[in-house]
Formats: sequence, C-alpha cells, structure tokens
Amino acid sequence: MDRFSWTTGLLEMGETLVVQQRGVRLSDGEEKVKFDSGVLLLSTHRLIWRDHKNHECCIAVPLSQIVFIEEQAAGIGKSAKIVVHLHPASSNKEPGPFQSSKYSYIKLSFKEHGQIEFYRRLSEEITQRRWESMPTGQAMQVNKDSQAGRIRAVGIVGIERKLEEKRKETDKNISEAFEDLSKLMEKAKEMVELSKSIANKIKEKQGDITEDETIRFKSYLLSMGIANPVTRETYGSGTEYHMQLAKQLAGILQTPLEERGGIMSLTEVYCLVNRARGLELLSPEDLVNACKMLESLKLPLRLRIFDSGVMVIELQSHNEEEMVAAALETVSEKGSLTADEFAKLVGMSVLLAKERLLLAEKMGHLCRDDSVEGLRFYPNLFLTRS
Amino acid sequence: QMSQQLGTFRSHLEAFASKHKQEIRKSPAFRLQFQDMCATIGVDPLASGKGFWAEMLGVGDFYYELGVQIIEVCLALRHRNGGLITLEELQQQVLKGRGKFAQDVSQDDLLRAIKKLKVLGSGFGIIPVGGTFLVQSVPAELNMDHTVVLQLAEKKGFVTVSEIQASLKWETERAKQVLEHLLKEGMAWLDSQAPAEPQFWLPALFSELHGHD
Repeated sequence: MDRFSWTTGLLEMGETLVVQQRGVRLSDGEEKVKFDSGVLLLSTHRLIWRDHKNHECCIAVPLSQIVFIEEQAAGIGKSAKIVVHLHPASSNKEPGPFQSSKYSYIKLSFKEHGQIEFYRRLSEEITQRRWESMPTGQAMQVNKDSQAGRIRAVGIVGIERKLEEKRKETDKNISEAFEDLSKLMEKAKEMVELSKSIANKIKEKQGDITEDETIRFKSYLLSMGIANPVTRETYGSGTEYHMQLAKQLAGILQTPLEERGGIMSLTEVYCLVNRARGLELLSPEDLVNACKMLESLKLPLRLRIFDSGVMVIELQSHNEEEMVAAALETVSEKGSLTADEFAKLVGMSVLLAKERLLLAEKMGHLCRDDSVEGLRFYPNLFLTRS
Repeated sequence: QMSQQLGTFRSHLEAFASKHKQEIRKSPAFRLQFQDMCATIGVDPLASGKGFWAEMLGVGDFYYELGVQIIEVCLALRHRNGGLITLEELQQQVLKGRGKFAQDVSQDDLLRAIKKLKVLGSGFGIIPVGGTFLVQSVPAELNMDHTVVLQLAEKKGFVTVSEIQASLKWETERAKQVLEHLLKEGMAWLDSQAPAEPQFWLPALFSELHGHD
C-alpha cells in the first residue's frame, strides 16, 4: 500500500475514465487497512480509490506500477478479489497514506460484485499501456510553474464540469424514468380494477355472456398479465394464442422428438424452442398452457406428467410402457443399473432415464436398492421367479 | 368497454417504452423497481411472451433467455453438485456464459427467472440459506428438515451429526436420515476420514473449486 499517493481524484488532461465500481475494499497484501468501502476508478493512467463517505480521502496508483494481476474467486462469506502485484515505489513518488509496506501486492475486494468486468478492463489497460501515448505531466507535483498550473487548472475544471453535467443528466434521466414508471403503474392499476369488475359481472350473469366474449376477456387478461379471477386458471390459459402456439409446437418438435427417442422433458423443449426463436421468446407459462391443449387439439404430440411432477412431451406414437420392457432387458443384461448408468448406456438425459426406471418399478418389473451409494435398480426376481 | 381501455393503456405503454425501454435492459435497479410495482398492483409482466409488457418493453425476452441460460448452467454442473448451487455461483457462471458485451444480470433477475421456471416441472426451487439462496434444479424432495440442515452447513461448507444435534437438538437417527438423503441425491459428499467424526460436505458451497473451470 505504500505505492499509493494522495490525489484529488480529478482526471488530468488526456486521462480518460474507463470503468468504476462501488463497494470496493483495499487490503495491503493480506492485512486489512482503513480503506474499507469506496469507489474504485480505473482510468487510462491510474487506479484511483475514493472513500464512499469522505470524498476528500482519495488515493491513486499509476498503472505503470502494476507488474501483473490475478483473480481470486469468491468464497464462503468472501467477496471476489483482484490481486494487484506492484513494482516497488519510485523514489520521487508523491506522498501517500503509507510510508512503507511489507507486501508487494494489494487486494481489491469487490463487495458489491463487478469484479469480472473490472478485471477485464484493467487487463486491457495494462496491455494497451495507453498512458505511454497520452502524456499528462505530473499534475499533482507541488513545484510546477504557475503559468502551466493555471492552464492545467482550467483543463481539469473543464473536465470536472463535464463529468458533473453527465452525472446530473443521468440522474435526471433516472428520476424521469421512475416518475413515468409510477404514472404508468397507476394506469395499469386501473386496468386491474376494471378486469375485476368485469369478472364479477361475468360470474353474476353466468349464461348471459357469450363464448366469444369470454375468450376475448381471457386474451385481455393475457395482454395485461393479470390472473384470471373467474376460473383462477393461470394467466390467460386456453386462449387463441395458445391454440396457435400448440399447433406451431407440433410442427417444430416432430423431428427433435424423433431424434431423442420420442420423448423430451419440458425444460429441454423450453430451451430448444427459445434458442431457435432468438427473439419474441415464449414464457414458461406460455409453453405449459400450449402443451396442455395438445391432446384436445388432436395433435401428434402430448403432454405427460409423471408422479414426480416431471413434465414431458411425447410423440403420440411413443409408448413409454413399451420402452419399459426394453429398459428391463437392458437392466437384466447388466445385472443392475443406476439412473446415471442407464442414461449413459441408452443416450438419454438422466432426468428421463430416472423416470423410465421409476415407471418400470411402478409396473413391477424392477426393484430398487436404495443406499448411500445411490439408487440402483434390479430386475424384480420376486415377480419372475416366484 | 374493456377493449377501449386496453387500447388506451397500450398507447401509454408504447409511449413509456419509446422513452425508457433501454433503461429496463440496462439497469438492474430499474428492473427491480418495475417488478416490485407490478407485483403490488397484481400484474405479472412475465406471464406471457404475448403480453403487452413483454412485447413492448422487451422485458420478457430478457428473463426468458436468462431462464434458458440458468437451465444450461445447472445441467452442466449437476453431476458435481447434485443439482444444488449457490445463487452467487449461478450468477458468476451465467455472466461468464453471456460473454463480454451482454448486459449485467443481478441476483434479483436470476431469482425472478427461476420462479418462472418452476412451472416446467423439473424441480426448480429456491432455498434460503445464510444471507443468500441455494438454487435447486432437480426434482428431489427437499423438506423442512433438509432445508434446515443445508442452512446449518452453509457456514463452513460442511456439517456433522454432532453439530446437528447441538444446534437443532435432533436425535441421531433423524440427523442421519437427512444426511443420507442428501448423500443419495448427490448433493452431499462424505468425508469419513475427518479427524473427529465424518463430515458431510456440500459441493454447492465450494465456490473456490468451481472458480477455476
């Protein structure tokens, strides 16, 4: 920590701010120092730290002093850190908080994250060495000639003013955004109230309301993201949108299902479909609601829910019970198998492999051996040999 | 009557979006405020990709894509941690996967995306431990007993039968059952060579080990 010098924190001419991060603590090697919480700024020339409470307390070290840096991942109760190894302080270094240090490195603790981005930027700056091509002069030295000092002061004040304006602009944008957000929410609230009163009317006039109007109401709820107060179904399930979606899915999933032995978990489907779409992604609820309609629309796929709650899409032609017979053969050949082993053998996901084995067990074909070493399935000899 | 109101609201939302759409994408703080306000008035902006919120603010795509990334990270690490991962590690891995130029993702963002994933039935869940959360991504049954032991283990990354007895005042049998269940699910590893007594370690809490992948 003896490589640091006191500074005003103002950027010099030719020096640009690269990135900054709040909530950073400095340590002198392995020892904690009083610089517990502050903003860490990276410029093209220096690493600057300013105490978040006392803005007068501001220190900096030139990037040219850095030998190399390393990352330290976060641990239990510890923040992620960057370790910065430094050259010994030069003899004409400006005065700083420490005269000497027994360490040749410091640690930057990122208590509010941001370490990944900061590390990347710091690496870039150290590699590019932009400070070499953008000389700034020793602006902080006491003995500079007064004329040059005056010019530099104007330059610094100008830069400071720009930073202040930018900060104010950002603040203004943010508060405007929050204000607009509040107004928007007021209107949204009105919509929620309106939907509740309509729902009540529907309940009362049960029969007076047409099928058409009910469907339209459901799609209004879907647009607003309001739960259906009448049926208490999840948001707008069974709408026109979900019907169309179901038909689309039947088309999209035919080939992938065939490639995967006729069965896929709903999470696999979610990833597959959304990765393919790129934009205008489906919400998990959209997917579930569409899949619930597959059977009633007589599409060649169906949704199946196992006892464990795991949800899958199967081809209509897929018969899980038949697959169980094949699974039994596989298990018998090997004597016994865990879900992991079976999955690897057959080329299935572990999730679905486990479900198949559990189904086989439910049908009486397999027995389980449940120990701390895992869940293992054996052919049910009680059945075959008794 | 409702369709007219809906049309009016839609144009308000459009106006809002044209000014502040970027803010939603760039600022986790703004997203948080937005989500909280929606929850207060009883609106779920993430319910459907076809909803106004998703369509006009693009807030849906952000969270649904995050959902895909969360699923992929959890799947990749399942063999090592049994389907349990700390929110911190999940965040680190997701950020890594998103690459240099992607937007920042906060822990609140992750939690909201995960809550939506629950409906897919593959066992996504959130367990509060210590000051943070464990994310479950397999359909293993974790009841109150299991959760409480996980919370106890969070301090050091491991737990022993004696510790459970001392802190929770349980009988040996109850403690052993819980620990065995965690072992079976692959969420805990047994160190039977520990000096005093066997230690049950949770790989989900080994952030240091994972940091070097």
